Amino acid sequence: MSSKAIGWLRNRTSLSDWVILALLFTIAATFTIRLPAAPRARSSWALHLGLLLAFGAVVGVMASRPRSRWVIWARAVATVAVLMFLYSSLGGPVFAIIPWRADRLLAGADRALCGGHSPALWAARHIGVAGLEFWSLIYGFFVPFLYLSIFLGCVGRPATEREEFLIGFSVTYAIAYLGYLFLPSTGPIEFFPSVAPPPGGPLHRLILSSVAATGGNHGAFPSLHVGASAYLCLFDWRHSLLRGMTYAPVVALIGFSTLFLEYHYVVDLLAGIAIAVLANRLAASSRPGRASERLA
Amino acid sequence: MSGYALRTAGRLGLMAFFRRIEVAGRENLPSAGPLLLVPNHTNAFIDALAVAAVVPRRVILTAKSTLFGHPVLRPLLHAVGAIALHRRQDRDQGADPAANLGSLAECRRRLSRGEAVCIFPEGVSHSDPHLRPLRTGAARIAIDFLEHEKGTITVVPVGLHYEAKERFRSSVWVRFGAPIDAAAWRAARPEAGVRELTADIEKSLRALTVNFRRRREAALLQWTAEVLATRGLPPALLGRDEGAVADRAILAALLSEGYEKLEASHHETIARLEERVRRYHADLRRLGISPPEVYLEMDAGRAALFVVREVETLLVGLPLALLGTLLHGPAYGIARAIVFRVSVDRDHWATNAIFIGSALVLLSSALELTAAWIFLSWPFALALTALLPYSGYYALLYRDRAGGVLRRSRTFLRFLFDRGLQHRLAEEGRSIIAAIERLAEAAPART
Repeated sequence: MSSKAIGWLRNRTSLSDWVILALLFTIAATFTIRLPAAPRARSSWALHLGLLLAFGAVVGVMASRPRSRWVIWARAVATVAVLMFLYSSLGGPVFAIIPWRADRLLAGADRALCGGHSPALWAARHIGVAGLEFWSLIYGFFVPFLYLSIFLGCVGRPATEREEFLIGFSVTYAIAYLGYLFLPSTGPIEFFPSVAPPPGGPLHRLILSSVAATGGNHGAFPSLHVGASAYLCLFDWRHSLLRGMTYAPVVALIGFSTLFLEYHYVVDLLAGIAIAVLANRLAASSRPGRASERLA
Repeated sequence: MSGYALRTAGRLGLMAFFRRIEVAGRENLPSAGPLLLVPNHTNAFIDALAVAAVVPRRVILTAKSTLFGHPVLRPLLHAVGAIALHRRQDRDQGADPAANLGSLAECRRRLSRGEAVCIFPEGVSHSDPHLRPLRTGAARIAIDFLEHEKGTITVVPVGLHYEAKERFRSSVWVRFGAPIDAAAWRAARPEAGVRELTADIEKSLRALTVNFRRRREAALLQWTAEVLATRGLPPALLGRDEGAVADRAILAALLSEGYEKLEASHHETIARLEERVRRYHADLRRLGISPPEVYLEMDAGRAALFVVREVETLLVGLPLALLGTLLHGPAYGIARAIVFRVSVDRDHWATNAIFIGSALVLLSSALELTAAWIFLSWPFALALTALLPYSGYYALLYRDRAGGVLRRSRTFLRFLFDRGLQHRLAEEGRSIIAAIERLAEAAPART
């Protein structure tokens, strides 16, 4: 491709568009390659191929009208919609097309990290009904935090900042979905049948039913609960220190909640944090520099 | 205490006292080699802390010899390796100007090891609205180095601009000027000596600082700079890129320059404008409205977004802010009471606040942590240990933001019920800005 064409594309598209297109292409290609071995996944294959074509068409339309006011909103809505949709559409079908499970590897990594002990088994021994309710409340808090942060990340900001937000957000989700795709895992809750906590109070039951409604236990590696919330927190830390500092302890609590509810291994959380840091750095590097640097 | 520890401690103290610390021109600092930093001096020990906190290498401080007799400061100054300078005016307090030969040699020794030395060439911390004439100490150190050592020494002037130096949670701007390569400077002027180098440093430092002729003029022009900095545009989101202190300082400096040039030729116009600015200032002060908030957008969508954004953050953060206030509030209250009693002038308010506040916060934190590890189970004690410093700083940010939210909400409601008021204030603000711009066009161009 000539440098002129690259310049044309750079001016008319965002890095977040290309991140999502690359992700959708990888998903569609993986499904295509594995389809002969897993004919049951035909509808999922068609769905993801359709998603790739539809998003490509949206990017094409946006590129053809770069100066239209609606483009900035279309990009935000399309990016968030595709990434949120993939959470449910990808999780379950992946188990049909990928012949391996990463749970044994992840549980082993956890034991190696924790000196031979399994954090999942430790957590199962140290949680009662009240604990389950508390950690369910924290776990559930992720959802309003996520959607409110997405809203505030996209609305009422200068266009460059909105784009920066979307770049980091799409990178976080794209890398996490690659983990879902190539290292499918259900988490300790299914891998260690003995650690699955019996349904506790109303909050815990609500969490169990909402997990079942979004495709059941899947996508343990990496933890998007931690990855997404850590990215949102880091992004805020740079733009609104108070909001970033407000949510940093919440992010830590969300991480603990996924361990106590047996949805994630420790290594999932570490991977989530690493992805968030990387995405935040990428997003920050897309921002123009400042003449006067601010220390506090 | 190492330079790194000093920088960290200084930075933490400064971050607690100042709401905003801006740094410009850090690229003018060489990363290695002998470096002489020459800042202006208007805020006692805070000036030294500010320089040491933002320079990314160890800074050796110089201090008047009398400070080495202070029972509290002496160990601290020795710990940071400060060099004593004996001033003539301190003779009655035991200063011995002859001992400065030793101080000069010590500076040279440190510089020859590639270290950075900081000296305040005004010689004394003051509250004058302009730079005081420089003494020759900095130039002497530079020339002494050239005469006794191989290689060169870099002299970097540093402009320190405090928005309101005695006000808790105000802003400071640290600005590093163009470096002077002393060897190159001397090679270009072989006949020149200490006085000429001092004059050149003074010229650079004057360009980096905001200078007014009179205190009354300083207040008026700084206020005018605030009005001008709004550019007649809506205010930024709270807690984000609110008008930078650097912008206002630059505008104040330009206003001061223009004022001096035009005062004689446009006396009547300036007098009328002064009167309007004073009236505008008094009106806004009476109403509790800041200059940028005059242009607040009275839009239902933006107001709803403001409510969502601020209420969410303040509600979620309330427990952490309360914890921080509970843990650090008593130390803050006692420190404030002591600082009120012991501070005799504006120059020492911030220094006393940071030193006394830091000591009391450290003491109270030690007591609280001891109690926590004795009486609480280890997970709670561990959580409190992590949250103690975090919640303290958080409580400060929360206090700033909650104040901003209250002020902005009050302004919004006032304008909502009296739309004519906003119209009048905005018209007057824009009219003042336009009048200043017209005057600026009449001023002779800068050389």
